[in-house]
Parts: sequence; structure tokens; C-alpha cells
Amino acid sequence: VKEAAVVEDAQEVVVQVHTRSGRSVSLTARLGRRLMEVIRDSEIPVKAECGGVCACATCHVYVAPDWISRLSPPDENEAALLDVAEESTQQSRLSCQIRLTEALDGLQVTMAPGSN
Amino acid sequence: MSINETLRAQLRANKRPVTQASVLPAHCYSSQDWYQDEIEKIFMKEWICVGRESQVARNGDYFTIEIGREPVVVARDHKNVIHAFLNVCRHRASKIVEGSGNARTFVCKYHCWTYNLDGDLLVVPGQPSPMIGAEDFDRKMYGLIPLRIEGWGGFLFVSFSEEVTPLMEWLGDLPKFLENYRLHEMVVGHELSYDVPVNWKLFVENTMESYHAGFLHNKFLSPDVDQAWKFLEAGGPYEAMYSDKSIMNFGNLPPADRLNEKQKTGLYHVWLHPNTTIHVTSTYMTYRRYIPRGVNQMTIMYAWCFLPETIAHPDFETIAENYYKRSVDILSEDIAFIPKVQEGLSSSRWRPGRYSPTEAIVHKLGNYIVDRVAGDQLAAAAADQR
Repeated sequence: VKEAAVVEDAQEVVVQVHTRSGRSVSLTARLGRRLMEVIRDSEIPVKAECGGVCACATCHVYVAPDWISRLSPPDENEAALLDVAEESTQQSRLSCQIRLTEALDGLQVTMAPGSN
Repeated sequence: MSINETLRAQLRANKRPVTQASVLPAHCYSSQDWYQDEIEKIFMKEWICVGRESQVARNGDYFTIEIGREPVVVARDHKNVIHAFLNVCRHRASKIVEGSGNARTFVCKYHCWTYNLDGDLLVVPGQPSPMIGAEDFDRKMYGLIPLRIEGWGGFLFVSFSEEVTPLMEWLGDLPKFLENYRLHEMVVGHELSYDVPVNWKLFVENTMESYHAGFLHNKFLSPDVDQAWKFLEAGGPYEAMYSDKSIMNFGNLPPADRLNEKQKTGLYHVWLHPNTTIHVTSTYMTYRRYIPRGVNQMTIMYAWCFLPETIAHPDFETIAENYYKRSVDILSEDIAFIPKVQEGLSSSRWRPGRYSPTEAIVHKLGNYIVDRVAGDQLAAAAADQR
């Protein structure tokens, strides 16, 4: 497991993504981007069939326990989709609904079943 | 649709016993009105075979099909329940999914209205919500429109009718008649589909008589062979015939274990109302669906199914390849020829011919069509004359 790189440019954050095959990848992203887009632009496979409009539940991730409470809670639409997402847990979120802020620098997520 | 006197006489002539009856008039194969009546009075009223349960083996699996003008999707939801829905978005009627696949949700691409696989409208995406201000909008009222779906023998059937009896009742004695074949355990080994520019009935008729086999298919079967078809008394919405000398009787694989002597040595052709045929042989089952796409357009969907132990046979692949090749070679001759019948039926001067008694099931099909489409009008006209 690599350590998240130290970010010097405050316009960027680093997110650590654990893949379905057990690898850990650090992704550097501009502030304000959606996590799903950042993953999609990387080498990590993600289905994200609906393209990020909160409709399909195929960009499902598990957010590390330390981080889940730092995210704003899911809205009604996301909650409805999390109900039908594959193997949904208390840590489940849709990565298209996670907008990266400075507070999320160092965020750790694991790709969930059905997302690749 | 109103029926003139000439047509009425021709339809009545079809209703005589097969030894006296005339074949269906051209109108039944070339009239747009007649075709629409078939869709409304038959395809919207019966149980329609839509495929095999194995097409939705896993949770999330789905496939689409059309019944008449109606797009349909069949899906196994994530609680392991099989559903059928109108494949049309409740918002502004886009068709939602195409083909087949596996999904968590059904998303209409137009405005991303999103449905659960049990049909509920889950999400109308957008920030701020696009439905703000839509008075009394309750997404619970806009789930996918459900259709009846039931199964037998591994087959799935959909109905648009609220009145039709439950499937097992509707099928009558067919499940009992075919029980030795263990159809529910069979898996699809191979499938094909072809678009053919003919009325759907022409292909069902072709499948349900083997009179033409020794002529059109004389490369495969000599006209000297007496196929000696026996017609069965059916106790349900089907007709069946038996032969041990059929063109389709090729059995190089071991026969299924529970068959009686008759079932081991011969085969049955079954026509199941309205547009499914099933061939059961000692070593395999094939079934075909004849999907109407317009008065002179149809798709034939053809699948070969086998028991698991047959597929486990060491030479299965090689032998089955020969089955497929031979069947497709024969079918290709029909596909090439039947459009000539459709062409002939566009004539306004042709007059209906007569059935050979070996075409008994073609006659039954004619009677079924006449009864369903024009039975009321024929009865009313008869009452007027009394």
C-alpha cells in the first residue's frame, strides 16, 4: 500500500482507491471534481453506466470508516439507489455523488461489487 | 373489420371438416385489418411464449421481446423474482432497454428516469429536482407497467390479458403429455433467428405439416417415404402429431432416460397457440417462436435444448453441430421458399385450394384463426339468416 502523496498544490487532492482485484492506487484530482470521473479517467475499471447522474448504482464504492462521516449524507435519490446497489453496506456511497473538497484530501475508498 | 359475403363464405368453407374444408383465403395473410385483429384478438388475449427461464438465470438478467406492437422486458430482480413489464418509460414513452443483459436498474436514457428491476420508479435524477412544481407527483404511481408472467417446462409465458386463466390451467394436459421429456431441466445449446418477409402463419403452417418435406426438402427425405403421421387428440391449447420416420428424426445421442418406447423411436411436433412450435425427440427438443412484425413480416426464433447429461456426453459438440447444420439446411430451404407463397397471396384472383388430410394441423390453425378473429361476426351473420 502506497502512502498518499503530499499535495503541495492546494487545488488538488489525493484519493486512495482500492480496486476489486486488491490493488491500491493513489489518484490526484482537481478540487470540485466528482470522484467517479476521477476513477473513470484512471486505469481503474468502473462501469458508471449512467455517466454520473445518480441513476444506475454502478459506480458504487465503500468509503473507509474514518471517512464516511466526513461526507455530506446521501440525498433521497442516492439513498434510493444505495438500497438496490449490490452488497450495499453502511459504508456504501455512489462515487458520482462525492464531490472532492479540501476536507476530503486523503479519502480512502474501495470499489464495491458490481462497479466494474 | 367488416367481412363481406365472399369472405364470409370462404371463412365458413375453412370451418368444414378437414376432408371437405378449403384453405384460408388470401385476405387472412395480406389484409392489414385482418392482421390488426389477430394482434388484438389473439396476441393480446393468450399466453405468449417469450423464451426460456435460463435467459434470466442470474439476478439482474433481462431480455426484451415484442408482442404485436408492445415492447416487453422480462427481468429477474435482485430478490430472485421474475417479472415482465412494458418496456416503455412512464415519463414520455421512450423504449427503455434493448436486447439482453444484466442490470442493477433500468435507466431510460432520455431523462434518466430510473426503475428498480421490480418495476418501481426509483429516481428522477437532477439537481434541483426537475419534478419540483409538478403537482401531486408521486413516483410510486409511475412504476413500469407490469404484465402477467408464468412458467412451465422451463418456458416463460407473458399475457396482456387479465381474463386468461392461470398458465397451468390454460395449458390443459400438455404438461402431462410431455412430462417424460423433462423439458424444465433442458438448457439451450444453440439458437438462431431470421427475419422472413412473410405473414407469421405461413411459417407455423410450414412447420406443422410434413407433406412438403419429401418435395421441397427432397435432398433430405425421399417422397417415397411414408412418414405416417398420427394426429393426437389434444386436451389443451395445442395440436400434436407423431411420426417415427420424420425428416427431423436424427438421434445419434443417447435418448433421455424416462421415455417410453414410442417416445424413444419417434418424435412429436407440437403447435402451441398461437405462435410457438415445439419438437420433442428422444435426444433433444427444439422450439420456435414466430414473431409477427407486420402483415407480411416476421422473425423466427429457433432454439435447440438438451438435458444436462446429454450435453455431458463426450461427443456432444460434434454430434450437436451436425444436428444444427442439418436443421438449418432444411430451414434455409423453407426461408427461401415461403416468400413465394406470400407473393402468390397478394393475388386478387386466386381462390382457396383444399387441404390434404396430412395437413390436419394447418386446418386446425385456420379454424383457430377464423374463430378468434371472425367467430362473432360469422355467428351474428348466421343468426341474421335464420
